[in-house]
Parts: sequence; structure tokens; C-alpha cells
Amino acid sequence: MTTLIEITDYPELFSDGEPLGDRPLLVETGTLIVVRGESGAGKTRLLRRLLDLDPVPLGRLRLRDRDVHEIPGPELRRRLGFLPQDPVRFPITGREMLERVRGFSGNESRCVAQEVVADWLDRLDVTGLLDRPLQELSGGECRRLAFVTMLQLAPEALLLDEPTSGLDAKRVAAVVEVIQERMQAGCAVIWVSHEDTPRAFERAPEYEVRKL
Amino acid sequence: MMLGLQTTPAPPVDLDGVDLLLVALCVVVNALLSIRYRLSMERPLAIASLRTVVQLLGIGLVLKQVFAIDSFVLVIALLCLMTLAASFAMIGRVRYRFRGMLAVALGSIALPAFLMTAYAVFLVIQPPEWGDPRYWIPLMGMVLGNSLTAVSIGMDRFVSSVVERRREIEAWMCLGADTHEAVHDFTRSSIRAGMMPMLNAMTVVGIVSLPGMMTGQILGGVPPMLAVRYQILIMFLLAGGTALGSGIGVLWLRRILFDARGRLQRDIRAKGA
Repeated sequence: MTTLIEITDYPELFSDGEPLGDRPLLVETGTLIVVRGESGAGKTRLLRRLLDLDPVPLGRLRLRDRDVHEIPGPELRRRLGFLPQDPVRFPITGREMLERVRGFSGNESRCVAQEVVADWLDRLDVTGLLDRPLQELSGGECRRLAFVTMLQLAPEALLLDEPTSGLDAKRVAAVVEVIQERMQAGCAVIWVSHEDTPRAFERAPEYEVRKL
Repeated sequence: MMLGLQTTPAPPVDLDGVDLLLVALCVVVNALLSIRYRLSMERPLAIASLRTVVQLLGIGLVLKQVFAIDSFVLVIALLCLMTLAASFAMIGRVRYRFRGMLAVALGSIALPAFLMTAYAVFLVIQPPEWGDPRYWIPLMGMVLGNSLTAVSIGMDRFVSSVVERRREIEAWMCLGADTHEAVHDFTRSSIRAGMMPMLNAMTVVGIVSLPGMMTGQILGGVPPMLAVRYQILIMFLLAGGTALGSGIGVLWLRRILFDARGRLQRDIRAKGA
């Protein structure tokens, strides 16, 4: 195991009720950590800072020994697969979304094979939705499609913001199974949620974000 | 003074002060409507009418002087002033404020205007005297007016799309898109929006609308076929100018609205906010 993500000097982070202080938060390859916090505490902001989308800097955030600010934006974001809580519904269909992402310069060489994508789509039960406009889909359907869209870039880490909220037990199981497979392939996962984590991840280390 | 192009010079009937007063009566219709339906347009209408008279008399006096002095430096100075005025007018039509706005406005208005006018004068018309203000000033005025519309539509569309649909742009960037790829749809639709009015004008010209400059030339005694040829020249100049202007404006905006990390400039403010 090697450290994939390292967060230091991030004063909003707590562990067991104590501020982390100068202890780093490390996410190793193949492991999962859970980040909790009340709504508005800054959970999503932490993910946005990792993606270098938030203009207000805080702490030192590193991806494989490189500061996130030093990695070119597109490369950084393709390596950190981000699944927002409420994915944007682009004014296109799911199939068009998948294809457009494969076509971005720099993405082509990273993308997994079409058969793998088709398998994920089947297991997450969204294959039948591919030709419908995203704007007609429910929140859960949209999130599962967004999940596959992001996964096809074979990210090294997954940043998941409330990935299972509002999904029924069967869908949660399917999502968890895909995540576990990615972890076995070496993916590091940050799971942000204020709900109970699925049983499979019950024993994952937990951190808390508090607004200062 | 005539353009010196017509075969049978027939100077138009003179218009004196009384004639202008008579024609100003037309605005009474606007006033009546405004009063009847409480549109509260009386004041702006009065001011706009006054501005029409004062600004046009003003430019008339300026043109008289410029034509009399016949110095190309003076012509250039006047063209620069007109460009500056167009840029400020353009900024007034965009619903957002941001850093670097004036530079984009100036650049995307000035470049097409000077380029198109120079092209028309030097390569197409080739007047006996290349610096003749009678070609430069009206031609450039027309290109400026139309670029103003095109660029302001294109810029307004782009900035408001980028601000209002910022989440979409960020979402594409999270999926590995660079800035250009993330705003691609908005770049296309904005340039298109900027070019649309001219395309529409070219479609109906001569059928639904008789352009002002052609009408003016005909009133001035120019044979219709020559006036028409000038109008065709103008239409193509305007088409090129508006396309160039909205293209430059939108592509330049795309550069300055995002920082090196692909994040949207933070101090974009809605007008009046």
C-alpha cells in the first residue's frame, strides 16, 4: 500500500472529536475513509479543494507526493473521480454524456474498454436509460449514470459525495460492489456522508469536518 | 457635395428647420401611446428625440469641418473616438461586469471596424484619394454600429451562460475536460447568436427592408443600380465585421474569464449589483 492522498494542516478536520492538528490524513491505495459532518460544515468543500475547484485555499493537499495545485487541472480531475451528491443534468442523453467524456483530449488514453463500461451500466441498472435526456431522469438514476461516466476514466481515487443516499438496498449493494472492485484494483476512496455507511465499510476510519 | 459618381446630378430638395419640426410631429404618436397606456416613456422619449437632433447636428458640423480640413490624421482621430463610443455603448448592453471588460470591448469592436473599412477602401472601392473621409467615416460608422450589436449579443450570451450554468462547466472539468472543452457549447452558441442578426438582415434586405444608406444615396441622386451595388458592398462588409467581432469577443472572453487553473474569475458581477 502506498499513500495516494495526503491532507495536512487542514484545521476543519477532526478525528474522534479531536482536531487533527499537524497529524496528516492519509488515504492509502485500496482503502476507504469516511468523512462526516453536518450539512454546511464543509464536506463538499474539502472535495472541491482536492479537485482544485475552490478558489480559497486551505491546508496542504497532495496526490501521490505532488501538491494538487501543481498538477494540471484536467489531469488532476481525471485522476480523482468525483461523484457529486447531485450530479449536473446536462441537456443531453446519458449515452451522449459518456461519449463526450471519452472524447475529451487526454481522456482517450485513460478510458477503460467499452465492454467494461457496458458491464457497469448493466450492474447499476442504467443501460435502459441511456437514450433518455438526463433532465428526465430521477436523482438516483442520474447519480448512477454519473458514477459510470466518471469510472470510465479509471480514476486512481474516488471522491464520493453521499453516493448512496436515496438509493434502495439493491442499488446500494450494486454501487458498493463496484466500489469494492475498484478498491481491489488499487483505488483509494473518500466517502463523504452524514448517513450510516453500508455494512461493508463500517470499520473504515472516520473523520469529521467542522466549521470553524 | 455629391459623390461624383452619378451621371445626372439632381441635388435633393433642401430640408429647413420648419420641415424638421413637421417631421418631429411623428413622435407625437409615441407620446400619445405612452400617455394612454401609462408606459412612462414620455421623458426618455423627449430626451431621445433631443439627443437625435443634437447628436446628428453635432456630427454634421464635425463632418463638415473634417471634410473641409481634409487631413487623414483628423479622420483617424474621429474614427478612434467613434470606436471608443461604440465600446462604451457595448459595455452598457452586457448584463455583467468583470475585469478586463473594456479591453475586450475595444479590441473586438476596433479590429473588425478598421480592418473591414480599410479592406473596402483600399482593395474594393479604391477612391482617387485613398484618405477621402467621405468613404472612411460612413463605412466605418456602419461597421461599428453593426459590430456593436453583434459583439454585445455574443458577449452577453457567453458571460451569462458561463455564470448561470457554471455548474455544468465545472462538471465537465471534473470529467477531465480542459477549459475550452468545458465551455465549448457556450462558445458555439454565443458566436452564433452574435452572427444571427446580420444573417437575418441579409435574408430580408431589398424585400422587406430598404437599407438607410441605399435610400440615402438614392435620395441624393445616385442611380439605383449604383446605390444597390454600394449596398451589396456594405452588407458583405457588415457580415464579415460582425462575424469577426463576435468571434474575437467570445474567444477573448473565454481566455480572460478563467484563470490558469480553469476556475471562473471570481469578481463577475451582475450589472447594478
